[in-house]
Amino acid sequence: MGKSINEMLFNTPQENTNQEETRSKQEIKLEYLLKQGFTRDNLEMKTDLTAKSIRAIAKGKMHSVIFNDSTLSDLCDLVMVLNVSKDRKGRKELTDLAKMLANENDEENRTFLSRLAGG
Amino acid sequence: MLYPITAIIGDRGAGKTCIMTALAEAYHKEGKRIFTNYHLFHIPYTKITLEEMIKLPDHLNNSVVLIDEIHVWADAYDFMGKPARALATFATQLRKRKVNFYYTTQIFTQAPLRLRRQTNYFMAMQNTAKQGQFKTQIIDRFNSNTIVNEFYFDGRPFYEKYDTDEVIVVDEKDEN
Repeated sequence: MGKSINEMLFNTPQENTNQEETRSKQEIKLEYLLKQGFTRDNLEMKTDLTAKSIRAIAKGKMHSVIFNDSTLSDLCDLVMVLNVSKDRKGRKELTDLAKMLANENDEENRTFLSRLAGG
Repeated sequence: MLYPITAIIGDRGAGKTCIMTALAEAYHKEGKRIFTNYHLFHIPYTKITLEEMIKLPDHLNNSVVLIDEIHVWADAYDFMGKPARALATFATQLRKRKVNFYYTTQIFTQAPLRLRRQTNYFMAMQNTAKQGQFKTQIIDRFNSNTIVNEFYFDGRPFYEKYDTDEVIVVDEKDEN
């Protein structure tokens, strides 16, 4: 099927423009938080390592590069993963965030209702 | 933007009405109904007045509205008044009503303010050295005036599809 006129003129693919965001604000925020909490992206920023362990892991990473040792590299990553949010109580932190989001959503609903009621 | 509002701007004879006629034909081939305030030849269309347009009739849904020289309407009305508000309402409902809305004007500031604020794209027309060929730039107003498309438009096949000398006037019915 050829491109529509609007696609040709404005370079806006019809498929993309049709995909309207159906997720709520809360779902989007939660997905973002889960991605932040459970993926290895920006691992260095998320991990709670002591100065000593940072030195150890840096050495381990360096050796894994020099000797092309993937096992050592994986081990270093694992140590970092295990240290993610250790002092911030990992799971508790996420439940707190989820609670906070739920409260925020209640607040939004209240504002909307009060607005409807003219308050 | 799925159903944008586009202002076609350019000097006299820069191909504004010509490209609008080309758009009318292209959208007609896409199966859309065409509403214009000027006469088209060999392209099925329905003539529309401002009075009809601002009543937001249901038959405008899923169509293309092409208004030539919108400043004629702007000059004919007190555009702080009711028709202007109705036109602004019409503009806000275009997405829901699946209407593509194009209008031409020589100078953008001549268009009613409420409509200008909601205009998504400029289609800037320029004459070239070649007779009947126009340089066209499409500019996204809501994205730092980025040029989203640029092309040369050959208007010659469309000269016979509209009256190049037609003077756009506000219908008597319109003025009342």
